[in-house]
Amino acid sequence: MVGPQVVKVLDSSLQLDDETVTRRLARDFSRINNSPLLTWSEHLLLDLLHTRDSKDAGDLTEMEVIPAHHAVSRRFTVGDKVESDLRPLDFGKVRAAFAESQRRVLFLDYSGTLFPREGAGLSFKHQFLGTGSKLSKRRRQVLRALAEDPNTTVMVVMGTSLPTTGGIVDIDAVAVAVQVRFCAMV
Amino acid sequence: MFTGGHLAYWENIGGDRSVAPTGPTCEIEDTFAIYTKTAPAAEATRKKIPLKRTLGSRTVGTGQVIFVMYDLPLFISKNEDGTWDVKWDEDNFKARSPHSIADSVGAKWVGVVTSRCFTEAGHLERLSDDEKESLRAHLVTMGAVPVFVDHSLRHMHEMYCSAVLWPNLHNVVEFSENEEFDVVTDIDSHLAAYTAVNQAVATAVASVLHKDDLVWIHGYELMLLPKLMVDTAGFRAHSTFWFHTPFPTSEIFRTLSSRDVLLQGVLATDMVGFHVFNHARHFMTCCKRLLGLEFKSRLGGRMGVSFEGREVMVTISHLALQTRQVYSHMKSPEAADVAMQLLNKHRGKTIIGGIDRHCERLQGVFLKILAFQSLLQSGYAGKVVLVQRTMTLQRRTKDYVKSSREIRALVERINAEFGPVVDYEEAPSFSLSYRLGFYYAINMLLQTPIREGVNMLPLEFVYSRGKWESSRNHVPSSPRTSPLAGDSVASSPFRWETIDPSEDIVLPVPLPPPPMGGILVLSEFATASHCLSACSSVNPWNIPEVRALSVCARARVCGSVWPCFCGSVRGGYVIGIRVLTLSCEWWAHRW
Repeated sequence: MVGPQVVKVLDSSLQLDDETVTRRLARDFSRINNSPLLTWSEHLLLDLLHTRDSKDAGDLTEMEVIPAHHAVSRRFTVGDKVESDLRPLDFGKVRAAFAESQRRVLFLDYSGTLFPREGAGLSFKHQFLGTGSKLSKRRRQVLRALAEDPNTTVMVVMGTSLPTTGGIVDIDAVAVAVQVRFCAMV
Repeated sequence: MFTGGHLAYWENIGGDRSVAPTGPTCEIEDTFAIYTKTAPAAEATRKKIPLKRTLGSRTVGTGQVIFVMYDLPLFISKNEDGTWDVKWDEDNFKARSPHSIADSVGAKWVGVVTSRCFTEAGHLERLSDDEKESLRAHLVTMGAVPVFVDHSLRHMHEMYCSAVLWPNLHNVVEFSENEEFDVVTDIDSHLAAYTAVNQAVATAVASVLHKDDLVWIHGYELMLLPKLMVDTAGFRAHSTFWFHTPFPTSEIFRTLSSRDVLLQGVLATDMVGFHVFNHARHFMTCCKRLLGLEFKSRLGGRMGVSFEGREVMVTISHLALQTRQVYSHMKSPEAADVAMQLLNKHRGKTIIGGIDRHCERLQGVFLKILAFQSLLQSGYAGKVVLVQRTMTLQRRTKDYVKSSREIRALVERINAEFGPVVDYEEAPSFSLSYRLGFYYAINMLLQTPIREGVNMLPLEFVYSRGKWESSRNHVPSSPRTSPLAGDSVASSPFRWETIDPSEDIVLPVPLPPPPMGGILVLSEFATASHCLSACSSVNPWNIPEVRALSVCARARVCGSVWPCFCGSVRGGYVIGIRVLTLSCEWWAHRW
């Protein structure tokens, strides 16, 4: 009644060498050891105080979409004011910096940047059918040109697994980091 | 590593990288994997609120932390001379313990205690008013404020919790009666009892509450408490409500007749806490769909729900382990005895261990033992044993009785076929010392819950095995080769903590060293799988086909394993359909 997947995992786990097992354990042990219950409790109670008392962490953010040049930019409002530290991208400055630099590394977000952000329904459909959005011809040209520049490195960062289509993987010299996660224990 | 703008090769790193944050924010500079932790800029500008100072002076009785829970985690017994013997349940994270937050700030615990006790003859009798007062006076000296609730009212409250709320929170929908399982037919009166108990606790909290206090409410048994507390006290103190159970999808939660009241009760706090992001996401979806509330992002990564002109924060943080307490029990004679017994009993075999807090269907013990049977059939017979320990349920006794019966029958069948390969025991509880001895002896810990709330047992296993490894001064080498550096780097920043030799764990009984490392296999539905990245994850529902079994065995096994219609579990839908085709009679049963 129980399928092979559980048995396969048990089998492969029992075959792991001691060093791998120990290394895995070390990773989780470090997290647990560095964050005991007392620390966790204190952080939570401080967070509770900050929800009311501190203005720094008390403001809500909103994202407002505004057209800028040939692209779409977003402006953050924090509480009732526009966040002064966050401004629309100045493309002139970016071009000048690009021209002046000798070596460059570009980190590009995937969903919402290279590809339109998908709603839950469309995302599910693509996952179900094994398809994905296609990169536009213009964007492929730009990515290829950037990647072929000997002094420029292009890295696409995505939080999901590699899409089956989309045209990212068949552009030479574009590196892709998949399933990028950040996990922290407070 | 890149040269000329092209990817040249991947940097060879022997181990995964990890960062232990030192606070809510931290900044780290990474120059070719040489890490430098810099002072987090956010901390410099963030308003410092020392907990103690803000909470005020302990002596004047203001600015304290009030922990509120349904069952006060106390063991209470009455001596022959009429005095009380009361101890905190050290196995409960909600209890008062040494080196806890109560050491630095004033703290009180409020919750329901028994209104009955056993006489010398072994009968249960109600406490007299004098007895209640003397017990109350004793508990006040310990920082606890007891709430005495009439037994019948308490019974109805617990029935509502165990038969209505608990299944719903675990994504189970009850919709027909069955004499084998707890079912509530008169919802209104049980909801009234639930409300009355919440009110009693709210009254007790209000009697000791001050405006500067922080109130920390635990558990789904008190979902109405935050609102009742504000109404009773007449003012709003800082409060947070924590779910230690899962939270269901909105499709399941909305089947509750009291869904709006429960949500509004919880939203009367300042902060609602969950251990896992999915549960928080379900909660916010329920708030949006059922109450029409909007939620927004807040600086620092938090989320908030707008409710009645206030912003209620939603926070996600998995519970941490009481490491000091675990460490102190690792040296206990009981731990050593248990380890010695297991190692001697199963000498020469690889020990797969399982220890579960509740003997109930959703713990997946039956699935675990079935998986072990398949493992034996795949060639491991004679090489492995399964040592399974299960704690009995205090509530939902019908679920426990049926689960226990089926598990024991399966164990008997397997042992009849393969010999004594399954070592199964049940007990009301297995103490922390026992568990630590258990973890010492086993090669692998296997947990296969189908749906569960917070469970610290996997963390105990990882921590205890890690501490034992550290005490042997074992530092696994993680050689890294950095082409820019040229030579291989012998040392790694990602190594074990080497503890002070004076803290070496010296066991009272000489034991062989524990197996290296310690393998952890968790169900992907286990809450701990979301915070332990190194565990192997399994889907206990991975069932491609029903093997050929006798008709009776098939009906019994199907009836026992798939008793519930789990709306949000993909495998549950498939299994539900399969069961309908196999046994319509079974389908009338509840879990």
